Amino acid sequence: MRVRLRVQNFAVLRAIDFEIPSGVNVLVGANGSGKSTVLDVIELLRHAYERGLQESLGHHFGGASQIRNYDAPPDADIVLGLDVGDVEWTTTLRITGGSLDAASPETLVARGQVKLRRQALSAEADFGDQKLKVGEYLAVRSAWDRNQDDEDLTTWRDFLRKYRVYRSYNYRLHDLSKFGSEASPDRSLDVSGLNAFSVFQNWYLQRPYRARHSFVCDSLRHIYPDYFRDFDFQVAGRTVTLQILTSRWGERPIQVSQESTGFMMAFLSLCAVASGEPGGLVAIDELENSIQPAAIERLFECIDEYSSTNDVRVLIATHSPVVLDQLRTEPSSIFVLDPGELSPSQPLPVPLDKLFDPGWLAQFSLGRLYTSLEYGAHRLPTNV
Amino acid sequence: MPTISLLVTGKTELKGLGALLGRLFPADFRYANASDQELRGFTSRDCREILDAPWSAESDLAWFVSHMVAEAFPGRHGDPPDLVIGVDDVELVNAGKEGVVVQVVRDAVRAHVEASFSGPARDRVYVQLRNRCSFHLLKPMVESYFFCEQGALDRAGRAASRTSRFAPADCDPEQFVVDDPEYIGVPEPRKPQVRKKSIRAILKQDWRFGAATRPRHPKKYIQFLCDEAGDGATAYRETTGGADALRALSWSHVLARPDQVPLLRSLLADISRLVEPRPELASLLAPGEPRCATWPPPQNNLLRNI
Repeated sequence: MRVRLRVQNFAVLRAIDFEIPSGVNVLVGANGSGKSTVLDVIELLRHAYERGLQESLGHHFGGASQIRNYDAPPDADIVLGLDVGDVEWTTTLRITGGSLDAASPETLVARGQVKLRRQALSAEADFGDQKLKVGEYLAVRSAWDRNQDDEDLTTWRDFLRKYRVYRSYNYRLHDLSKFGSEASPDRSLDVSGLNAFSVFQNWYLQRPYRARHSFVCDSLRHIYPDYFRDFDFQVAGRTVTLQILTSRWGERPIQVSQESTGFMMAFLSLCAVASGEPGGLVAIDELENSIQPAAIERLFECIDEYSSTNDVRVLIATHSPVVLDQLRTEPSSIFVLDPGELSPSQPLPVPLDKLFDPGWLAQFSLGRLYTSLEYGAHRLPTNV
Repeated sequence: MPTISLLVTGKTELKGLGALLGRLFPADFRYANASDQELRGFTSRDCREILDAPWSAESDLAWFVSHMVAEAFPGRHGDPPDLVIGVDDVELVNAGKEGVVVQVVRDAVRAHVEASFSGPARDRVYVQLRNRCSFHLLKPMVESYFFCEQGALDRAGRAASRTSRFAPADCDPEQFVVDDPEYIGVPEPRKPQVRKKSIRAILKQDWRFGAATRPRHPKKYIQFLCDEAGDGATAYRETTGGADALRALSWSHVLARPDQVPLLRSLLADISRLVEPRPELASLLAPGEPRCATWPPPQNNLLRNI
């Protein structure tokens, strides 16, 4: 299923046209190039679907006043678009006096035919022969609420609702390790990671989810073969926590509060990926944080295998040469937020094998090319 | 216009070598650096050790030759330049062992091609390398050639109170030795007690360190000539003064003595083979082709010249 994100003039993103392939893909770029913002935009759309654009913009970007790209002309449209399968959805944000206009125009096109249209500043949208009243929500939400059997709307909505973005630097690891998780019915990891142990226990206890528990345990054995054996749950009142059985300490389990940061980060990244639903997309910002390079390699292998066997797209924003080297034979899965020697107006990101000849790339470590500033780096002045 | 792609290991060469060559062959080629960044050189280590050590695909040498081969085949964007030239300094540690440097490059190129290609593609790569790829040396380093021309030293930032005692009439700059008591006689200061990384930067920039190699070290001598106060705080910067000196270097001065600078002449002989003979070029390059580790090409040449 095709997934394509389109963005114009939004925040640091001047022009994004990103068709996200299935499997694991990596997003690289210099600091400030917009990697995290790309991940944020899909999250913004998910929240906009659930709560409306106004609230979502406020939550993610502190409002509308600063969202226009600095390089964009003042009257340039700010466009957000998400295509899923045959369905293309687009909205244009209109900013007046630093505020988002109450009604942003929206279209949804399926197989070349316009199915949904909301004109700018209109309180109504046309969906087929229906006139839909649109409140603070997106028109596409109003359309689905009244047409839940519409396959196009459902396909688009389902993809968006399955999207999760995890930022490793936002995990509240200290609180999780020290205080555990509060028991909950959650079956997907929260962005803070605080519900990790509860989710992990639910996966273990509920047969349809047990494979996710096994994936995490098997992966940790692969990543730390001389160390990790298994987990034990500890429940006290409404608190769930884990003990870790290791090869190093025999039958004496160790508490998660004593566990290394790198191990816990790997655990959370695996839980993040296993929280993904078939057909969905999980994004991880800075997968590599705190994890030893050889462990990063193995973690990537595990994520790659899970992604392909469970139809979960994974998008990793990274600065890690180790991660990039894992895609040595698949440079088309590395997307660069930098046009390199292509035209500056080239929409981003660019697959690495479009920036360089694949035969040229094949002769190098892609990680070392990255550290040598050959791609995804701040441009240096040249002078021959 | 045909393109020559340069792979260099120094900031001075990155900013100045293309312009320098362009002044000698102005209408023949367009010069481009293969990369915005200089590559890490491999000659700061005694190349005899590389020759004896097990092959490492992670080494700086492997990285350097990977770039040479990849630029020549298939090219960064699938459109290889007409000529790829890799250039590294000989460095003092390898002075007099240019043949060894050349041998390790040949070995590394072969190892890279054998590891990266197979079948007909491998044969095509070898043909391409023989036709389009060269490796050349500057001896002992690019700054040596500045001493052929007083103006180059001025552009490099020579202090008004300093005068070069190196006489190109008496000594080939590629065999650089200077006997300047003001330079040689300065005692080596105690190493500063700072972080290891900072020490490396200080030792590199302060000509007073490494007194044993000082007489044969053209860059240190330039650093000295650009150090008005003599306290090690030199004004010489590779990316500014060094690049300015190199870009505008006078070819007539550098090539004034037919028996000098054979390694640099080798580079020029290599490029000259691709251009129509011209009387003015022939007279500048007289008496003809040099004989050194990088020229003439051997019978079993792997690259154009080695």
